[in-house]
Amino acid sequence: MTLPSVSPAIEFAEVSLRYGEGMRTSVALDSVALSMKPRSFVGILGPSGSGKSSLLYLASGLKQPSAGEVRVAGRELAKLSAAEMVALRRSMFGIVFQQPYLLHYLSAAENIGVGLPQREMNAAEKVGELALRLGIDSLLHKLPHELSGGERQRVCIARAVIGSPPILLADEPTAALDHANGHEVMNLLVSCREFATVMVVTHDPEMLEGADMVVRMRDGRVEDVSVSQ
Amino acid sequence: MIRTTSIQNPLSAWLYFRRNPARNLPVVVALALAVVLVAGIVTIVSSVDQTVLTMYGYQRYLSIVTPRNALRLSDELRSEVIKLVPNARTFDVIPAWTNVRTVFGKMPFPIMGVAHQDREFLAEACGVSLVTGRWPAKGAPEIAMSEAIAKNRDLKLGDIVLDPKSEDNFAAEPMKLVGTLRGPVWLAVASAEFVRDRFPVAIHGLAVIGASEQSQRSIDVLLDKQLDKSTARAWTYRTLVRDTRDALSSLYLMMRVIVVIIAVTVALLAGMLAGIHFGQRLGEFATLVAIGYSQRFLLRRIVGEIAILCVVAWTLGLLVTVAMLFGLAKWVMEPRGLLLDPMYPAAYLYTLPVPFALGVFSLVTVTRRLHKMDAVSVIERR
Ligand SMILES: Nc1ncnc2c1ncn2[C@@H]1O[C@H](COP(=O)(O)OP(=O)(O)OP(=O)(O)O)[C@@H](O)[C@H]1O
Ligand SMILES: [Mg+2]
Repeated sequence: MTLPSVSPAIEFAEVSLRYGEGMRTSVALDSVALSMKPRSFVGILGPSGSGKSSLLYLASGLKQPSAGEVRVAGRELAKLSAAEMVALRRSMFGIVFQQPYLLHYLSAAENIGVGLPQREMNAAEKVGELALRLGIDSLLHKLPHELSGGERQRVCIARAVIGSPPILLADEPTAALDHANGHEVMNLLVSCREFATVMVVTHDPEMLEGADMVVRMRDGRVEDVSVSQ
Repeated sequence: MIRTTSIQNPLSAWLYFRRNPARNLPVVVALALAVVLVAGIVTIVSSVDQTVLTMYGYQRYLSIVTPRNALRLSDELRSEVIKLVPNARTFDVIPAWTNVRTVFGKMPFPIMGVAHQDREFLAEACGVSLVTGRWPAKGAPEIAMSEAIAKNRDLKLGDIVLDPKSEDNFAAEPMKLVGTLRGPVWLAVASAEFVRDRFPVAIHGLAVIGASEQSQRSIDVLLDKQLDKSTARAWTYRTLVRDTRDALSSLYLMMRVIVVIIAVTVALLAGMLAGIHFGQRLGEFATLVAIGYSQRFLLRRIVGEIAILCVVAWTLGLLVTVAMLFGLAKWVMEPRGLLLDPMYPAAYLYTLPVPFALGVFSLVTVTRRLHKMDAVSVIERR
């Protein structure tokens, strides 16, 4: 699936997210308005608790907003049925989490295969080609416990992009990694801009050098948006 | 080398089963052992009524009427029986008794004193024929019996079957084994004249044999229902089955309770284990949900995993049971002349609740937890 290049890939329209009720309400996001272009690399920066992860989970439909609209490729997520949401997530999103979780009993290659939206005859070739591109072809036969943290995160990225999703979301993918590994993983994500809108959460501005757009969050609000030319 | 099929379908239930032996083997072993236990218990318990029905199987081909409050048959009783079943053949039977071993202790077995011409008819009606030796001579202290009884009593031709000094197998003078019989049922016969003279307190009976096994069933019903119970008793296959079932009913009840307890215990344990395993796999399920697998897909996969577990364990349990019971029958029971059918179908039917209960418990546990699971919070907590 590809996105029309004119309309925004992901759009937040006055989106709020609250937890709890009454006195104990905490506001995770407060009237956030953002628009991300297709095939752009968007970095989300901000201190802990500023709502970065919330933004990402709303974009992927894993959480629903308390107010406002989240639109993906022009479709409002709240209007989708549960089944449509699952199908959309399968076909449109690749998601990378802070902790690189892999199925422990599957080899790296098999774990990458988990990310394919449907069963494919040439799954093995696809995995092989992708691994070559990501430089992890020597790891394919290894089990997760035989991989380093950085290697595991790269396998997770491969799992997220194997289906060539038009949107790639990553929540602090480099947090568990050392500097060198972090940079490599980040470069990998930047390269995914070729086919996808990439939205990466991080608290390290240094990691976002090549970004098309950097969003700074504070206390659930967008503090600043900088767009590079 | 990378196997391609597992990359195509990495979430197959079979792959999970194969790659996680440490998780699956304990459940498989517990379930298989429960199957062995249940099938073993049911087979052994069932062997009791099988033994009774086999031992006294001759009753399928003949019914016997005995007097009440008397040792001898009165003429009135004879004519009453003949009037009831005019087409059946009747003849006198005077029993001597021997005791045979069974799994549940000794059981009396009649050595029928029958006249020469009746004995031939009796043997033919029961499909029994002489294989070694000869039939007992008229008036002689001699016995011919089925091979199975001889084996059970550990007797060879020429051995003493009944003896004045024996408690279990008494006769006023020693009676020898002179012939062995073979056929679908157990039978032991002696000379009518000898038994009549030397067993003065034996209750005489009137054997009634119909033209076929079929007509024997209707004879049974007539005798059982029509005869005056205060003067006569009918010994039929029908009453044998009824009495056996009655006598064993509490044993069967106990057996069923035990089967249920085993099934529930194994199921509860497996359900708990499934819960623990689910806890260990939370990350896996949450990740799969987050990257776009539906709950329905995950449930189907879990059903597949549990089904594979149950089928593998059940099959394994059956194989072990069959091997064990064949061994038991061949090396323990048979040499002692005891009956045990290692392929008794009911025994294997009784094992079905075990994998079924296990499957349901595990599935309910996992389904409930899967529905409660919040993928995002699992992922964030990690
Ligand atoms: N399940 C929850 N229940 C209540 N409050 C929550 C919940 N999840 C998040 N919050 C609150 O929402 C706010 C935003 O959380 P979020 O996880 O988006 O922050 P973040 O920017 O990703 O932080 P970090 O850098 O620590 O990951 C925080 O104040 C947090 O306490
Ligand atoms: Mg976060």
